[in-house]
Amino acid sequence: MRTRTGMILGTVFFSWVASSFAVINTDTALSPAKGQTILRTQYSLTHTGDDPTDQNRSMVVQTVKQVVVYGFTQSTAGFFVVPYLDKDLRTFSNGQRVSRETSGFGDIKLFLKQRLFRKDAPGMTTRLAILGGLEVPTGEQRSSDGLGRLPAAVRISSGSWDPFAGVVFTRQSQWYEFSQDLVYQVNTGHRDLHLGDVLQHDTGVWLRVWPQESPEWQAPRALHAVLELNGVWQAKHRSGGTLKDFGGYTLFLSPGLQFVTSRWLLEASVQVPAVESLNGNELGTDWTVVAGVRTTF
Amino acid sequence: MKRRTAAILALATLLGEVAVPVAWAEVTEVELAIDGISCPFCVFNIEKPLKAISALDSFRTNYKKGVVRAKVKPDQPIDLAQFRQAVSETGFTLRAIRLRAIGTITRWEGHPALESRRTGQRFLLFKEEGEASLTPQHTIGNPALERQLVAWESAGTLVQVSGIVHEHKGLPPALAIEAVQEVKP
Repeated sequence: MRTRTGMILGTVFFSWVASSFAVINTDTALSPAKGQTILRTQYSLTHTGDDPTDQNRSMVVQTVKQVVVYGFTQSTAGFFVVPYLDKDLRTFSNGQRVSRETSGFGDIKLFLKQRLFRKDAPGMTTRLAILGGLEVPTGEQRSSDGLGRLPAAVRISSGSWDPFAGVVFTRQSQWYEFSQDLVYQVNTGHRDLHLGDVLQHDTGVWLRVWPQESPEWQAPRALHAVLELNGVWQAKHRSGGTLKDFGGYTLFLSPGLQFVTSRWLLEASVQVPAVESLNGNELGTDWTVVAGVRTTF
Repeated sequence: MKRRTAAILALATLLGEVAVPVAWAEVTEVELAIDGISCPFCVFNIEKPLKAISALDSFRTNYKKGVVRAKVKPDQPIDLAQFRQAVSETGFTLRAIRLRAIGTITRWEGHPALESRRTGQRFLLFKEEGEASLTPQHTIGNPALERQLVAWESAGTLVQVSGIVHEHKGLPPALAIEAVQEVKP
């Protein structure tokens, strides 16, 4: 069962930083103003399957993620991310189809984002920022159910203190945005399992499809068409030695829509794997649906 | 423009440097042109700190142009530094401050100026376009307008001036005249 761990954790890691006004699953170099708060609630449903073994395994992960962003200064923002996860692994045990379920609050993430570069023009901005923080093992660490020891993939918490850092570039106008991020997380390991490090790279673009340009138009509301490429690479896990059936690389193609006003943002996205190169018997992601809302005050 | 600025700075040097004063003139409307407003959330970002400025009222933001307009409450002084700080804290770039102010024409060290009826504070006046013959005595560069200002000054006429703010250390804030007209008291 451990062969699922990498991809499921990768999915949880996925799309966690885009909390200011930005594309859906890609981070942004835009930060809130000093004293401004942004709340983001995101629901995601991920289905994994395509089991290369004869166990016909599949798994559904539902995540509700709450993100709080606060502007400490005009160039420094703090982020607090707490997920609630529900995992349901379907597999065979003694010839019977069984479900291994668990749910609860996952590991929180705390990090800072510091803007390094800003160039503003009328209706347009270009920015570069760095970020760094820590994933804290606050999640529920339930390790067994009625069927015995829980597979690592079904567990809620990694159990380890995991630092991460990254860089993000954004160019945004009233007509489009282009963002590129690169984030690396070092997984430090817990007890007998040391998860592989994670490298995430995202490229996101939105284009305003409504309203069209007109002399009268001045209200801050718009509908955006979003297209992203979200890549996750994870190293093989270690437990005594290197485990060959863990980790790999997946590149998701993620079309979506956003409707945004000056206070609210509604969004939805579908992520499907475009490139998948997984190690050994690692399970792949079939699809992920993401829906969310953001507000600022 | 560089010649005008140089002349004003030279005058400031002669007069000795003093702190940039607060503009207490009777400003009736403020317009802030802000660069970097590229998303709808930006509008809230920029309006929030500006709404905390007690002198301002009745906001109207043109998202497309990146311009925030606000009425100034009657008899409320404004402080230009507050605008600069508010925009700075949002992480955007303040491109220009445009004011509409009412007062009488007077002179400040030979320069035409708009003086507030109630507070005595002044805005130096100059004009962007026109043939520049910039000296401390001639900052307008437009003979017809210069004569009109002199006439209004002599008659104590109340006038309304709209223009973009220019600030230089050691001088009162200046308005680059975009429109000027006589108003009834």
